[in-house]
Amino acid sequence: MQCSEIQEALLEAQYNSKSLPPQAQNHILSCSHCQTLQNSSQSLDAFLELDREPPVLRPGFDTRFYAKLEELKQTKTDSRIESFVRKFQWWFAGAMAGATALVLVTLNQPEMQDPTLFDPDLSLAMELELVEDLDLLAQLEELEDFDVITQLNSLELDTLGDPVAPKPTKKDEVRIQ
Amino acid sequence: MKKRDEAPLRPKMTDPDVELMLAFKNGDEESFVKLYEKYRNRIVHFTRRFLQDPAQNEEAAQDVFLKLYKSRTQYKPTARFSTFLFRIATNHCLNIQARHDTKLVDRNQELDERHDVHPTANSTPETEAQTSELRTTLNKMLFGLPENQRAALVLCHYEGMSYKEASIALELTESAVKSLIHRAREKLSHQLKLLKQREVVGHAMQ
Repeated sequence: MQCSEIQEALLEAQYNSKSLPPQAQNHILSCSHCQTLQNSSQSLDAFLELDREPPVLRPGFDTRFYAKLEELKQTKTDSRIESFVRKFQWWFAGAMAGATALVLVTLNQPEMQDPTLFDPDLSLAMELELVEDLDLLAQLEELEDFDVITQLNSLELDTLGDPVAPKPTKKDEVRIQ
Repeated sequence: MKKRDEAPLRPKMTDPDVELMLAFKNGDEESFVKLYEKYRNRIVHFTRRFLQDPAQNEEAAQDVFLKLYKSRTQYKPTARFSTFLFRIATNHCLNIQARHDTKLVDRNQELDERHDVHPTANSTPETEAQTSELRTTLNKMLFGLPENQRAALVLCHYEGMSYKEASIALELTESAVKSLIHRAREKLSHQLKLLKQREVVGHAMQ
């Protein structure tokens, strides 16, 4: 084993849970340079050990930590609620938009508008119906005229027939009766 | 630096902490408390090596556990639990440092205060003062290392991770971790040598 490999072997033994190989041990025993290296390494380890003492925590360390932890949990719960509300708002807005669109589509459908505008047959039929209605009105007018005629007496009827004839007197009226 | 290959690792189901983390992932909050109690001191110890302000390093340690709590749904047992946790911790500390978030508090003073409060049982004031001084020097030396070298050294030396585990935590190749540790130790050895020489000179002058 060479001097250059000794340092790595020492570190491997220390930090990688490997034992120092016998060749390395033999080399160190026979090499003053590597002995110095090992001594230096050991004194450094002893020096580093000075700072191994456990830390002294300030009073209330755990209390402060558990308070922070509670805060964190609370924040998580709040953020979950916020996230739910946000999701609900999005869902609600989407539903509202959908409903509005549905209403608009429904209102724009042809069935919901004046049917005669799109169907010429229907339009004609409705016109005919209108004509029928006019005929009916004419008939009604005729009937009214008939009623008026029935209410007239014979003299009046004669007068209607001959407008030049003298008007009936009261005496004539009595005679007819 | 070359990034570690994202090769799938075999799940370490023998790690009891992985079991706890999986239980926590499935909603068992008690498992999280167990993990927190088990790793709390180690994580504070770890963050202390990156952040000088004691209040800030404790806060960083707490944040690491909060991140663990938040990331439970994404957890996959691809490595030991400690590797996963220290990966979060390393990233968090490096991010804080990158943001230049650190408050400039004299860490040495804080360390001195700490040692005044907790002196070792069989120590004399003299030895305690010496140890404290050496510890302060060591901390200065550690803080003087580049962040990635410090992170690699802390994970392997103080947290007992293997090169492979450290490479997962640091998201680097194993050879990169080896190289970082080698360079860090070389630098520290050199500084220690200088320190010893100065002490010899100091003693000689006295």
